[in-house]
Amino acid sequence: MDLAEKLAILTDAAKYDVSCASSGSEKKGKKGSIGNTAASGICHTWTSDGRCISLLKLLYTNICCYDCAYCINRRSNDIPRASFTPEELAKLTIAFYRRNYIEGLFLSSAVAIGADHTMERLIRVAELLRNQERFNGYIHIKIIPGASPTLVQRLGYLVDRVSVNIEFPTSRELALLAPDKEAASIRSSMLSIRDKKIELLPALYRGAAPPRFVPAGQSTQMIVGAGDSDDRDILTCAEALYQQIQLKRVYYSAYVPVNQHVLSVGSIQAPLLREHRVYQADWLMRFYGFEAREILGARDFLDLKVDPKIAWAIDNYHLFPMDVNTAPLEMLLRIPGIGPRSAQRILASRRLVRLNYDTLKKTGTVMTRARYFLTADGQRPYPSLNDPGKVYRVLSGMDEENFKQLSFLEAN
Amino acid sequence: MHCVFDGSFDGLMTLVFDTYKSKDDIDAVSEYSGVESLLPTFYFPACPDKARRVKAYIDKSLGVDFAFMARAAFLSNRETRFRAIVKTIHLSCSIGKAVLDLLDDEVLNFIACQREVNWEAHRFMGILRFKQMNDGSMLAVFSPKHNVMTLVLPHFADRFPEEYLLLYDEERHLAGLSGQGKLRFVEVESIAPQESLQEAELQNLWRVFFDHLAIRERFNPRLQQQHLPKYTWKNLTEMQ
Repeated sequence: MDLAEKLAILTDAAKYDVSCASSGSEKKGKKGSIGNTAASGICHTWTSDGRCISLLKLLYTNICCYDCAYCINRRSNDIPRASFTPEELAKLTIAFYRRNYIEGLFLSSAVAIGADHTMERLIRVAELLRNQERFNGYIHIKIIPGASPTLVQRLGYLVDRVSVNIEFPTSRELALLAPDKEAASIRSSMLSIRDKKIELLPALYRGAAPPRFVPAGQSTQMIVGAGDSDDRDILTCAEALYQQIQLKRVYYSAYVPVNQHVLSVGSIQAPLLREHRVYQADWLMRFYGFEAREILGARDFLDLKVDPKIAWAIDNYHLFPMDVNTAPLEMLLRIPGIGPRSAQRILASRRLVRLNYDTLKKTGTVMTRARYFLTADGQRPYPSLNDPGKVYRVLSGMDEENFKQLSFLEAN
Repeated sequence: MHCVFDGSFDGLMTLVFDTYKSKDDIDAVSEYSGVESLLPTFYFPACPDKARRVKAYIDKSLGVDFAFMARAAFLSNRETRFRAIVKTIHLSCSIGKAVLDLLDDEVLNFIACQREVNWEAHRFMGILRFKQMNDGSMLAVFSPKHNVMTLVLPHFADRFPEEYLLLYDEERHLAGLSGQGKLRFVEVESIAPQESLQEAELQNLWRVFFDHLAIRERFNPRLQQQHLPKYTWKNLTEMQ
């Protein structure tokens, strides 16, 4: 099999993994080496589905001894199978990197023989890149669930980021759909990375400079809409991952029915829209100071018609309108149409002038949404709608366009 | 008052210095074009000493971040960029760094100019495509809207310290070279690239990867184009 064929097979096998970030790690270039990394990450292109490509995202092999119900690479699927060698992968990564196609490598693998056996192959690739090829760019490698802790630690010193996919928010679901994976071992490998990182914090480390260990932290992925979990399960789980395990990112992937039988019972239409809403809620937790239970209120599923911030604001309409000249940062961030950047601008500007409707526009506030929820210098920018039901109807109408665009039915 | 300068950053800084007393009368600021204008214009010849004093003021009172912003805004292709820079620095004389928080139209324009430039420079750090030449050097051709060469080349020089790099801005006929730790910028009418033998095969592998990574069920070319504007496609290997 030639390299192009292998590449095609092992790209197809890898593409349902969402993560492609190259952020969180800043390394200057070094003489005699190739590569540097940028804290913000760099996107190198976008595929025809609109997703960014930053890393060379591949599976080492798609030969698998597991039979997970949702996975394209499951043992019982009749698909072409292939494997790279570590040397091939290292060479290809460097050739692509030199041409600036990619920011680095994101390598995962099916489990051909056993977890440790696979983990060793992936470590070998990272070692070749770092030691032989003197590669100083970004490497993200998947931890194979069940791999021994010593291997996981060894990997940590070689790469920028590791991840292990939690797949489902509840262990019940994991047991049902991925019977060969154990929720406990996924969690324990996450925790061992977290603990090692804490141990190597400069403040706690004895000795000069601590070695680099997973500088860009860890991420994970949950599949949305393959099993029967609701958005409450998903968001509660994500919140715990951020708070307890200090994950950098949780990715969500709308389930694409790659296998014959349909698994999902709920929310079959618009899985992409559901994914989109879950991402918006995730953003609210990470950058807006929301808690999962606040976002959900009394619901188990996020409202598909309006974004979760609007949904929260309408549930809590008694808190509005807020005065943009006096509201503290954490409250400004709760006004729909005001993001972290415009909130900062409002704070800075209002020290110099009193904001009115016109100047507020210049802070980047999206007035079409914000106007129902604020006052500026006594001005209520819109003939006031005191009925939250009416506001809901207006704002959900505005989002209808997105609703269409994000459903699979439209896309096909 | 229509102010004209020689087109250099120092020239613009001199203009900032010389127009300070009549700062409210500035209507337009432009680079001297060689053609006599019908409207009365005032030419401000560059003076290294005045420019140095303005730059020292910026570094000391407004900070390095502001200095970077001014440098970036200077590279913008907006017609109003020079006036925005001059007026923003003039305004800063009374309130210092907080000038950036004024919701003043000139200041907002200044911020927008530098943001566009920095955004495009960042984008090209990702979408520039190098091709290996016969002699082993790496060539990347691009046509940015803004003059981002000086922002982009240092990134690649740091990333590939062992390579000989040539970046070529087709739009401005400007070449940026990096090798053995040195950067150089020269104007070049045209280039005659000679690709190495492995180039075609590697480009093909890249296209295989690119095509196979897309998920058919999520097809969304509008979203793709939002991130990857059409004007960048002609130099993108995967879009050929």
